[in-house]
Amino acid sequence: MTDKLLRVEELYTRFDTDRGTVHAVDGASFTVDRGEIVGVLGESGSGKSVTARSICRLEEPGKIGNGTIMFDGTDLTTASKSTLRQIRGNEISMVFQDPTETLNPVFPVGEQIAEAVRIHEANSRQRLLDFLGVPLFRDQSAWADARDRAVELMDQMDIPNPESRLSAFPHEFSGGLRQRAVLAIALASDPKLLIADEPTTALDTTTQADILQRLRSLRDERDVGILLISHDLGVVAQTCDRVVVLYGGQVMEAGPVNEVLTAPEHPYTRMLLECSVRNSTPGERVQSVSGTPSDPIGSYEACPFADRCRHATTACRERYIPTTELDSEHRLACLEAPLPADDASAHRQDALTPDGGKQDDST
Amino acid sequence: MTQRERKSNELQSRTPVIELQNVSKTFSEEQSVFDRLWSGDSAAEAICNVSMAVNSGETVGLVGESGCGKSTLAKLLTGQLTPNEGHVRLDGTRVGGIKDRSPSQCRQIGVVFQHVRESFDPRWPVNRSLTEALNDAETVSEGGTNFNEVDGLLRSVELSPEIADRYPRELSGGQLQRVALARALAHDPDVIVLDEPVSGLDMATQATILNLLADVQRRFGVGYVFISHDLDVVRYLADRVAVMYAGEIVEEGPARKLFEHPNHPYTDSLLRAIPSIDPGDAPPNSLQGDPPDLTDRPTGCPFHPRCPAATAECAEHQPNFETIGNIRVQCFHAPHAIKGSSDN
Repeated sequence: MTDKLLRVEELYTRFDTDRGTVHAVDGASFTVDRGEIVGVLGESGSGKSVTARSICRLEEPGKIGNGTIMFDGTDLTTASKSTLRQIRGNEISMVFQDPTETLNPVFPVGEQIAEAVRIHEANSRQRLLDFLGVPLFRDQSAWADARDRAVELMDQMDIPNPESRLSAFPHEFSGGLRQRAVLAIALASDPKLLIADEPTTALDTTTQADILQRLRSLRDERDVGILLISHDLGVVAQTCDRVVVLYGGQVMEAGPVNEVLTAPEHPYTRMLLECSVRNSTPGERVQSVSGTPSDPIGSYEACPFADRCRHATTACRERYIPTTELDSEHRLACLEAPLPADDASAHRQDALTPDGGKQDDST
Repeated sequence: MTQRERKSNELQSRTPVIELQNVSKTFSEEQSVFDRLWSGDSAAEAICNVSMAVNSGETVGLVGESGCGKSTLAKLLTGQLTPNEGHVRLDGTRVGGIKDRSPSQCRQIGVVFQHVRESFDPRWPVNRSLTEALNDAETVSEGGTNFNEVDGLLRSVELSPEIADRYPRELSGGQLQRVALARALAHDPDVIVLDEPVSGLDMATQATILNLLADVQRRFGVGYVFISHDLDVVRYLADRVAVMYAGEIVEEGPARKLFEHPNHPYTDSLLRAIPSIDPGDAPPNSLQGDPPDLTDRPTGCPFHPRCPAATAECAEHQPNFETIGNIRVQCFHAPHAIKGSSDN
């Protein structure tokens, strides 16, 4: 159990604002192992991105109040800045939502990949000289090597004609190619952990399928641990091994994907599945939730979902909700569990009809 | 016959609110004299010979990869762009770009832009943005459902009037989307062009916005042109769907039929790429290859370099529209190009 690649325990990240303290991450615990994809699922404002940023220690202007982030034997919450700089980008890489905004529009893509390769290889003195950009001091042979490596990386990401595309600018790439280039940058240093923050939200379905395929092959071939943040159930279902459902910065339910998404135990997970458009018949209303996510100001003493939950009792609103373990993998934070199975099973029947499938009803 | 089908049959007999007839749009790069001498014409053909019509009260979904011309088509509808070839007709009358349209013609088409946050002035409270739209509308007011005040507008999109004093940065994505819809409703349009209205929103918010769109359509009878790359949303909301590839409509027809039995291989691969929410299902298939370079379009069918069913004929000739039931499809081999559709 102790040799997990990443172990986040009781993490609290807060933002001090004029209106009060926002507890964006409120005691979240989960692990990511080598060669596994863990999905983080939740609405906007549920603390998904802040969790990801906290792991990279990029939580500014927020503050990590409590908890530990053990990455490969190092506690990132107490690590020094230089250790963090060693780990960030080298061992933990990040991929963001919009590839257009991640790439620098005024540099060729190949140059940006080569730069990532150089930064992770060069010693600090050489890095300064490179940074100054004085041609005389630039380590020409190292740059040539880095360029070769960039071609190799682009080739691995199936970017066609990598040699000729080395000097192409980001705007000359399609959306899918750009995201592949961003992945190439993230993989330049052979990271152990890749954090992908909604990597396919800005992409269309065919491109999305391609990027997800790449993430799966990274897991299988390179043994990379991947934390995949998404609000798309399909993306999580088809890519991840395990899933963590976040709400109000707390872990509502966590477990293997085929358990959590086929037989959800937590009312919030069920609600997420119900309001997916995919489960709605045209002409009928999409299931939606009453109420909006509660005000994030102030810490939750009780279940953050209680106000929107139809199973909530007074106990849910009054006391701290302990996490129960259904089995060694599947855990959940709900007082009312196990819930009656009726609404969950009704939902599953809908979900099992394939998309655009053969439902021949009511014509 | 379901209610929807009856509705679409009714609609067919009327003159469409807006119609595109064999419209083409090319964008040419700014070139120096030397460029022109050396490399000739390098114009990108964003829209090629597209015809479509939208009636009030119906929803037309527009789907396709990024860069296939969905947004350009939307701009041709709103008049932000004018076509190089072909005509745009509003209520049967030929119209030009937005500058050439009369105020009452401008009124007919509403728009909700793609990046909704960027479509608001960050220094204007919601109140001022909506008042601006209302004042514009007043100059052309001619009866109908007129909203005289911001309050009524906000209520029509299920927002509390208190929001009027807030600034766009204080609103969540879902709220801002509602305000954008309210702004489009201010001048009582017949058709609203919605460019990716729910793509940045999470599932729960997406569900509420989709319900709101359906309600607004029922109450005001507006038509929607619904652009999205999320096929689930289109399947849910649209009456008719047009699938675009490389600036052409390759297949068009009633949403339900098209999603059940796609006829064009591209529609089929789009549908196959949707990830299923059941972890037990096989992972989605991605489409091989890249979208074509619009400055250098492939000859024949634009999809043939990536098409699994392509033959020599596809590379040589551009297929014409073929009608299968009430679906029209631009493919030589439809519906046999798709594996497993032989039973159809």
